[in-house]
Amino acid sequence: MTARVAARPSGPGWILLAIAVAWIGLTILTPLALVFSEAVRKGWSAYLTAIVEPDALSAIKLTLLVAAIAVPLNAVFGVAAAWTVTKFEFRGKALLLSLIDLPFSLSPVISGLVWVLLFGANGWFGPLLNKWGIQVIFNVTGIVLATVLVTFPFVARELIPLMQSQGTDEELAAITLGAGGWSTFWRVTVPNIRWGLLYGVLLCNARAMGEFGAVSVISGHIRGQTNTMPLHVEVLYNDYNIGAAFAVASLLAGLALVTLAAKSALEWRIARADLNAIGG
Amino acid sequence: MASAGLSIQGVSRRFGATAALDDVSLDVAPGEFLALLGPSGSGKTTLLRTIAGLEKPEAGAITVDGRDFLAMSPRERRVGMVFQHYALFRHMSVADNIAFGLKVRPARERPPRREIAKRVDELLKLVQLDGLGRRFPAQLSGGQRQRVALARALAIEPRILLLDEPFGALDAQVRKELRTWLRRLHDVTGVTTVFVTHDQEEAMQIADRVAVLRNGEIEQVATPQDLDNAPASSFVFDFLGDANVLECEVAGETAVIGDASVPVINPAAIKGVVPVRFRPYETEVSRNGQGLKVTIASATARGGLTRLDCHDAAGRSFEAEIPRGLAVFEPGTPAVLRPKRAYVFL
Repeated sequence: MTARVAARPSGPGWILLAIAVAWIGLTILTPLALVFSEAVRKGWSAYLTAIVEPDALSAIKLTLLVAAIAVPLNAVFGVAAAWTVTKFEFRGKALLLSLIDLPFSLSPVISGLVWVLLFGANGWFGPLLNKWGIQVIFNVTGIVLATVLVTFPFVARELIPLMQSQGTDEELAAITLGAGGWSTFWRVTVPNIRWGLLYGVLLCNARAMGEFGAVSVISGHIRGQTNTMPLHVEVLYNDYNIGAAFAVASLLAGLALVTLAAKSALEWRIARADLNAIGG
Repeated sequence: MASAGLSIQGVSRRFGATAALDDVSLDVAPGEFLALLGPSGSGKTTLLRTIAGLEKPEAGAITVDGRDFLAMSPRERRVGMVFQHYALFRHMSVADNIAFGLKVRPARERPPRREIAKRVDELLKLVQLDGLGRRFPAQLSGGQRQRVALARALAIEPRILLLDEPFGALDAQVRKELRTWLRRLHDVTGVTTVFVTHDQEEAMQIADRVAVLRNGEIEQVATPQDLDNAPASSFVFDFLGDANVLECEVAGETAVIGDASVPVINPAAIKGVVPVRFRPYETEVSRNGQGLKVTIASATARGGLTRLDCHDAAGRSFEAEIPRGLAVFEPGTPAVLRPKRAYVFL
């Protein structure tokens, strides 16, 4: 590993550093601090009331439920996609790679709208599904679909470069040693990608819980039923219930901080693993 | 360990428009150490991976002790494969790496835990890594890693051992040590071994027989000695060592090089002006005598040899190697080259 030689900031360096710190403070730290201070401004009991209030509890439950369905699905899809792209050569691979990235460049509103167009009352499959009594939008199914679409790239994008750099030799070695496909996957591939996978799942989860646009289009905003936490924050805010809005928002912000801490811990762990792999 | 014979008949494999293997046939005797030698792109690695079952040929047959290998999955073939970049399981200790092939066996074929541990210890001793079982691959040197890979491949008691440029990622010094060590190990285990390399010195030093590949075809299969004495084609001749080429008059068993008659080692019924080859180290150099008149361009001493680069009046370049201290040839001075023997290929 090449040693990183960084100079201490000189005169102009200090100015740049000051600008960067000021900008981060203004655009990131201040709002974050504001969320927490506003949340508890009316005291801890008001804070607690805002959170255990039935509509809020329902929103929290729904958010957890959606993440609990969408994140494992995308973990499986992501591993499958990364596996396909990195371990096999086939026609249309570049196209598949771009498709995986599509949700990143797509406005979340569209990611929600497509499901309405497909499964809504006037959508392509809506009338047919209606006849069978299946409702897809304005309920958990729709919210999960929208969330899955928006958060699809996180796991795959995290794993593809990792699996590319690791190559296929270890899997081939396992097969020649008599391991079957399943055994090779669990004993060789998964342990090699576990930290990257966890990292991807973490980012995926943060986005799944925080997603607003796509879910907003498809949920129907039914209080106590199809409102997730971000949607519930908006509803409270529109009702001029600022304190409660910030209380629920502080939970989301807290989630972001926990994600950040876990991410840093993982990055540290991955960097150490890399050092181990290179040194020796 | 029981040794198995390997037979490859008419194997072909194409990648797009290029033939990686073109009707390759080859027999490897039980217990033999055979090297597949060729430049990159000659198909040697593809052939090795086809034997292992990692590539499927479009045509041909591969049998091991009479068993149809192509009808078996890679895991059924029980070949020990060693990769250029080790391919050790990075998250497993050395001992777990070696035990892997035994641990993944179906329950009724799997040896008991204690027996696996004993086998791992034996193999660690065999590859001279006793005591390092608890280390991780990242904590080992390149040479040690490749020995672990070898132990891991031997653990499954392979019918055949396949080595894909196993020393390609190591520095010259370690390469040479491991080379002789590998040959000694083979003499102990007796496992039929196919060894891929692009390094002719490596192949000639350790293999019982060498198969030279070119563009997916086998040019020649012979013992190192026969390969050196009687190369079958100009490609083999050029690939095995430095070569001088010039067009000159050949009549039966002699070639006329300059004003000297030089015996042709592989006489053919040729008459006329054809390309004639000779080795720099089979060339005598004098100040004035019979042979090819040249001017010395440079003289470089290395080890016990002096290497002379020269060119003739027509501007063609030649090389010669003579024992150091035999005579001193200054750059810019005239000299005469007289090959001891010449080779003619059609």
